[in-house]
Amino acid sequence: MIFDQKNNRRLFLKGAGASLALPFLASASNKVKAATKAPVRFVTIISLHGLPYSVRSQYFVDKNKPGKLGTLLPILAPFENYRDNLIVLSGVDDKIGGGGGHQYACCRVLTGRNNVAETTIGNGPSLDYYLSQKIGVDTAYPLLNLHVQSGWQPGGYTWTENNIAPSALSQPQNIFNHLFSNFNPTTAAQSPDILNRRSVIDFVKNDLAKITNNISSSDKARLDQHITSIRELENRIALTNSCTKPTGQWTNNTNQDRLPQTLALAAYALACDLSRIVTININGVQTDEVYSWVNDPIASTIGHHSISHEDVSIELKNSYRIAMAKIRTWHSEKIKIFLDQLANSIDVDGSRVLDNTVVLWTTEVSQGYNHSAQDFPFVLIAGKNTGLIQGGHHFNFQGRAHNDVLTTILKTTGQSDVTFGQTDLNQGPLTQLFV
Amino acid sequence: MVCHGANAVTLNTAFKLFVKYKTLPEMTKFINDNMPLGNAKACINECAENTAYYILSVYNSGAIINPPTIPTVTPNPIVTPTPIITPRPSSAPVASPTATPNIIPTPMPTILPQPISTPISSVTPKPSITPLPSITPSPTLTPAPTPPNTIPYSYSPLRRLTHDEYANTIKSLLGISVDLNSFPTERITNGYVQSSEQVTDTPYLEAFLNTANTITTQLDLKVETFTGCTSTSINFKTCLNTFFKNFGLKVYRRPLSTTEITELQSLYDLIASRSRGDTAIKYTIMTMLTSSNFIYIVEDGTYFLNSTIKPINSLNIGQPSNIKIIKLDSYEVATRLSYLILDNTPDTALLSAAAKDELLNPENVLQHFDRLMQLNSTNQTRSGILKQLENWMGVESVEIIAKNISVSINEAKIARDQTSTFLKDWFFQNKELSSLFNGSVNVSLSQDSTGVDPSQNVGILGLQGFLASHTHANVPAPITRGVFTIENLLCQNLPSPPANIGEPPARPINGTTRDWLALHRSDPSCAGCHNLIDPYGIVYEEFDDKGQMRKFDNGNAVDASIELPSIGDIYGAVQGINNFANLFASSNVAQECAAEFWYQNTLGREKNSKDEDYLNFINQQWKKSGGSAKNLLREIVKSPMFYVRIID
Repeated sequence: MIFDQKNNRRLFLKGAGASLALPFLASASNKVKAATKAPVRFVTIISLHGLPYSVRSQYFVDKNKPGKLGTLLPILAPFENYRDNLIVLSGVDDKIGGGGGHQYACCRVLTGRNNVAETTIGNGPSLDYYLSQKIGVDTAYPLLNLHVQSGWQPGGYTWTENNIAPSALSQPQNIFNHLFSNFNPTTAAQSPDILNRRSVIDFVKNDLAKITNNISSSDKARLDQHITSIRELENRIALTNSCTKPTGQWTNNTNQDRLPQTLALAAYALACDLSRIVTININGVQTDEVYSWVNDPIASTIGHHSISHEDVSIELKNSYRIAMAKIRTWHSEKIKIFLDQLANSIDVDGSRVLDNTVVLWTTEVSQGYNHSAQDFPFVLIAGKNTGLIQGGHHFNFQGRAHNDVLTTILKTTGQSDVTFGQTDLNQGPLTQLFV
Repeated sequence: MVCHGANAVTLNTAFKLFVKYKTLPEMTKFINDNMPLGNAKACINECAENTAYYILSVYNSGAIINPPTIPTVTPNPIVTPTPIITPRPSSAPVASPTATPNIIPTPMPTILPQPISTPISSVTPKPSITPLPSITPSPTLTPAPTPPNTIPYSYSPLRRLTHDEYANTIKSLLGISVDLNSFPTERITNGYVQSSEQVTDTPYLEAFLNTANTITTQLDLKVETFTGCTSTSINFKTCLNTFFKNFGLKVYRRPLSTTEITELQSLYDLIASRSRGDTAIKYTIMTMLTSSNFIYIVEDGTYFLNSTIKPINSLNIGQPSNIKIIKLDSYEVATRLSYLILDNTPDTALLSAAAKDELLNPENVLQHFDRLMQLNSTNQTRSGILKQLENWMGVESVEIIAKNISVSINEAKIARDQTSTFLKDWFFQNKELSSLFNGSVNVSLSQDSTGVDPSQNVGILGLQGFLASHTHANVPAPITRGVFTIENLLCQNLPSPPANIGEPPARPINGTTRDWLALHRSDPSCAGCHNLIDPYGIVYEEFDDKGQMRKFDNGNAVDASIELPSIGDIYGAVQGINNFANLFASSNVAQECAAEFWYQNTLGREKNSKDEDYLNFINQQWKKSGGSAKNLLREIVKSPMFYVRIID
């Protein structure tokens, strides 16, 4: 394992040592020094290609049995230690009515709107981007957008208000380099190195300002994003951080390594308050990853996307659906380790980072073979300080639009929005989910 | 009705409307709420209803089928409309010169600098220029004629260097190979990098900064050896000044203003005052390589003071008040040309020509065009035109081909190299567009086809590297190939697949892929699109999923004969790939689609309805010049769009 309790402990102790009165996060981010309550974090994790309806009651949850969760079925079983934080939703639909292909549907998950002119361009802002502007701006990475699989794919989950897809970081070594290559907690703010970096940024900013005349409005929107990036880098240089750099082997071979490593780096970024909004896309929408390490004859030999489409004779279909559940179970086992890491990290107010985190785990289509938009397998893992119900519950909303899940998450972060995305689909946050 | 033309279509829009909104109330509501594009609510109530009625009636009548004598499957169009693709407006009989009298410049205008003595109130302030001795504008310049007031619409967005361009440029400037893995993944949509998708967000900016840091660290820059200036000399500052002037010309692809040189000098001095000279030159070079002057292709038209920025009221399109035009200077033309052909920064010869301000004259530019084409044709690496050709044809990487068809990397490489060689020969030997589709090639054979003559006149359409790029494990190959053919080779947009579709039919145990596809077309919700898509893929059925020619499919004899629904001049019964290739080779729609690709590729953006006039013009010129793709690019390069930047 590349990221264990020992690392977390050291992380905590070092932070605590840097500022005796407050635990490490007080020094991790200057802007939260005076905070008495830890900020809420929001994490989206997307597993792809849906989960067949017919295997849900056996592997996920029986939609007809809402209430307190009983024995956790295989996909949810890894979360046993976090049963209290678990909220499983049935009966929540994407009611927008857009095109069904994976690369179209994914754009709507966090935007709650139909795509731009029936393209694979999302109609932003997406929830993660919107929140990054609300509660992320004081951190080094207002939005940390991670792809487990490298390579460009159409569509995407994260969209700015100008319908631009922010770049994602992919491959653990690369993510590590971005997050930590310039990470030098001992560097004083006035060191020559920091001052020289500032000089470079100042110069580049000045140059950019000169080309913003005589360009079209769409070019201007792109350059505005460039200006925002410069501002983010300026902020980042201004931040000091007393986290230690994580150590470990970073490999880029298959998702077997990439997923746990990407999740570990995300946990580290959250624990160090480098970011409060993280979106993790496990696969590109059209990749066809073979999960050769999953103990299942179908899952280990056929691509995930291909399995989801079940283009086989009738007698094979059920085994394909079970393979989908097995792959999903492998995902949840890795997400469980991510939760462990958050549970082992101490927040600014002495609580666990997990206590202040909402994780949304979902897919881009509810069921793969027919690109279904009904009854998404939404799972929330909500820390005890997020205002969401604890104790392990399953709700069946029987046809509520997923926009209401988005406003529910907004509410946990203190936002008062009662609608998000396509207005007429919103009924407001899911009140049953709040304590 | 204006927007929907004589046959009710501005194809892509109306086609989508028809597929999605099949009834009068549905379509009326959509038009009422959304149309016309860009000016929603300008056609409501009766106007919306009339327009909807018009579109539906024309579609349902079959009047737009072209030619009308070709039968297409005609189930009840309200329930299961067969999407009827018609030629785009530009593929109507080629416009006569009178069709666009205000737009098409004839003869070709030469856009030359305006005399300095005719200042225009809105001229961009001239930066203070310090010309290098070698770049003094030639005194023999012809006095500039008045620029034409009929420059066609060809909006050109601000472009950032693509990954290839960035890597090639760094290699040319500093001899360093850049590791592009630290950059976010670049999107290649429709075969080229769309400028609208080039956003320098934080991961990108960091990648530029970190790469510049890596490069300058790797070079181990010493101020004296890198600049040639002795730091203890009293002339050090002057020498450094000259260095920034000369090096800056290469990096920014234009001479720097005195202000810019002073700013770089000041940055150097500031950092040197904190650190050492070596550190200062490192950070200054890092800054230049991260500057927007380097990473963007900036086109201000300011160097020779000839830029006019003004609303072009004479341009008879759109809302004139929103459209501005900037005339490029010679350096900017050099840059456009060099990145278009080589994906690389202008070489010394181009910079010298720019210094003499020779590149506003298309004749001079064409000489460099031929020179750079020659250079590119002998390139050992895949870059420039060759790479663009592969992107156009959607030829995937060796790794993806190997994965798509489950072969070793070596086998995939052979297939891909064969395809690359074909494309390279076809393009650089200046062959007609038609031979791209019906040139003689050696196709790959599956075991069951042993003994069949492997030589076919099907061009790219029969090459394994191409076919294996358009195969996916989870989709029957005819669907993938049909969609690519329709969308990328015939430039027709297909709607996205609907959500909540029924369960697809199971693959018949003893049947062929064709049998399987016939099953899903029996579902009305699939038939709408697949009646069109499937035939355009079935024509490739003589090739298996791996892209090898075969005789049998699942034990049954292969049948690739099919009746093609009309896409413009492509229609009717074909007996497999040879027939299809010939139809394709003589198709106007395919030719216009080729022009559309290279036009979009040059501008870095998708065409819109305002581009139709220019595309017609380019097509006309191309036909006159002979039909090779190289000539098409030549026509683009000598046409007015190459010498202006239009801001919309």
